[in-house]
Amino acid sequence: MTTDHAASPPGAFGKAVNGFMFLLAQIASICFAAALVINFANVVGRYVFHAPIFWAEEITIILIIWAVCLMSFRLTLRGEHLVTDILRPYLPVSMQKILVTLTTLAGMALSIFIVYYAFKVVDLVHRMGQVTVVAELPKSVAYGSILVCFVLAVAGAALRIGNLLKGDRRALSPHDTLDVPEVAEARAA
Amino acid sequence: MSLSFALAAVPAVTLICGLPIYLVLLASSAVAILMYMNVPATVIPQIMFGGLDKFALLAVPFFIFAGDIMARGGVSRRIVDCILALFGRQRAARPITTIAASEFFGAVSGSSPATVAAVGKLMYPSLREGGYGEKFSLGLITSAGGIASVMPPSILMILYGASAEESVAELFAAGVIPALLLGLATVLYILWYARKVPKSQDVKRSGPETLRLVLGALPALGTPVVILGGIYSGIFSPTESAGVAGIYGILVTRFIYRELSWKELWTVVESSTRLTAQILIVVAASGVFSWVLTTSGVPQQVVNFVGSSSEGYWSTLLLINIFLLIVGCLIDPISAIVLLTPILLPIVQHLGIDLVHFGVIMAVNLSIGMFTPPFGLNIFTSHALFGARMSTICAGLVPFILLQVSVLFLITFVPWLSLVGASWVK
Repeated sequence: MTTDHAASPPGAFGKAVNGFMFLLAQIASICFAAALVINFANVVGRYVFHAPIFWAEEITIILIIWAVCLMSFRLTLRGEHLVTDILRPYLPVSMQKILVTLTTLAGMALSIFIVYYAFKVVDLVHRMGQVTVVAELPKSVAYGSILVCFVLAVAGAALRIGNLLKGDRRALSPHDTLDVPEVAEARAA
Repeated sequence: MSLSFALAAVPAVTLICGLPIYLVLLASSAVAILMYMNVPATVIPQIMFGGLDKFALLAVPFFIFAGDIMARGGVSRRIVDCILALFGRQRAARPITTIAASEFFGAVSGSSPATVAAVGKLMYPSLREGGYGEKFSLGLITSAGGIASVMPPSILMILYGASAEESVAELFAAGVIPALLLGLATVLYILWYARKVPKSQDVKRSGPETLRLVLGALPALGTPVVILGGIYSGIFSPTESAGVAGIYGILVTRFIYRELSWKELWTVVESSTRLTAQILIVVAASGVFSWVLTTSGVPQQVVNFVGSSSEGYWSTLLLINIFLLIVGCLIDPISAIVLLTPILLPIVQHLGIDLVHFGVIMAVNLSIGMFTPPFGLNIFTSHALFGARMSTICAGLVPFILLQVSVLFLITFVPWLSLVGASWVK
């Protein structure tokens, strides 16, 4: 499980991008925490108060899907998506730069393609006024998560390409996403 | 270019080029849908959403959170202290504690690298102090983490269960004996190895101190009881038990051990959200790829090919094992399991292999990949944690890889070892 890492652009624009990324990560984390609390509340409600929360499963799923989709901006911009890094480490730096730019560009093109079709789906379910079965939440809100996911991926990819074209060599450094705090500490040390 | 060729060539080329795994799956699916299938591309976002719209899958983020909070909240240290206090006078106490603590911590976190970090950080200095060589200690710690991918609650098993539509509770139960067997085989090797280590019996604790350490570890040891007890008593579904384990983790680490501040707790939520996003976006994309494969009849073609070849039941299983071991060395296990399950499942069903048994085989294979060069994640974890040379870690891993591959073949060719556990909960 390896990823490559790009630094955020410096200056006012860079700060704005970082702020936006932070805001999205916080909203995603709130969705995650809410899902955890609702899941627990449903168990407590069922066994302690004999009053299960019927909409708990549906809302928990939608919250987690939104959390996943909102992280798309950060994962794309910082190159934190799961990648099989087989070829790149063995190439010279100039070739690495070309390869990473091309793959990011390809990812961006594919994301634009999916944005178009995701919009059609959201538009369709919105016009038909479809709602979820139990919570009766508009399905456009649920399917909108996929649309937002790829809109954010396009934005993240565009900024990442900008970083690469500016010659940010950190974008080419291998960076393992181990998600183990001790490893991060060891690296920092 | 035929559809089958496109569905093989596009992923191969884009994977090698380094496209993110989820885009590899989506690119392959988009090529197939646009060039070979007469369906609108609006199916892509719909199936992506449908791929995540499964309550069983929510066990993944909640177990990630529970594991992360336990890793940071002092749980691993108390488990290690407790086992060392109880068995410190025995021969080879330190390496056996490493295995036992990995089994326990695996049953709490379900994450292989997290287990290497949490247990390894505590046990590596202790092993070296006890006279165990650098290669042996690194090999032991790096490979012991692999057990966590098999021991319930295993994230690999949840993903396999969602993909193969098999019961996660049965898969968890099926993983218990194989995980214990992997640990037992390693313990036997340790006992043989420890004959030549002179200073391996020097961890001694007084009676009251032992009691204090055991009592201190009780809340931590309660986590597997909450998870597995909740599932198998029928109180919780696996997803609910994962959520309850997360809340229990907060209670233990924040209020009983008092090792996590509210700020640190929020950091755990943030990192769990990020890791969840990394995994579930691949799961969503794999749903589209799986749909394209099924709709286009590729699995049937693969089954026909396997059926027309002269390979029998056991030899096909052997070939699948070898294939999975190679894949495990190159691709991370989460991507491998969501990518390969829809391809291998029709072959396995055609051969009449039990799908729960096959889930265990996949998890064990890919768990070995976690510590097999060149891309085993646990190797990078050990490298980062202990600052050891990659070549030293890899050399130390050789006996453990051979040992676990031997156990893998035992698990593969004796289905009873997996199925007996599953039969208890049916």
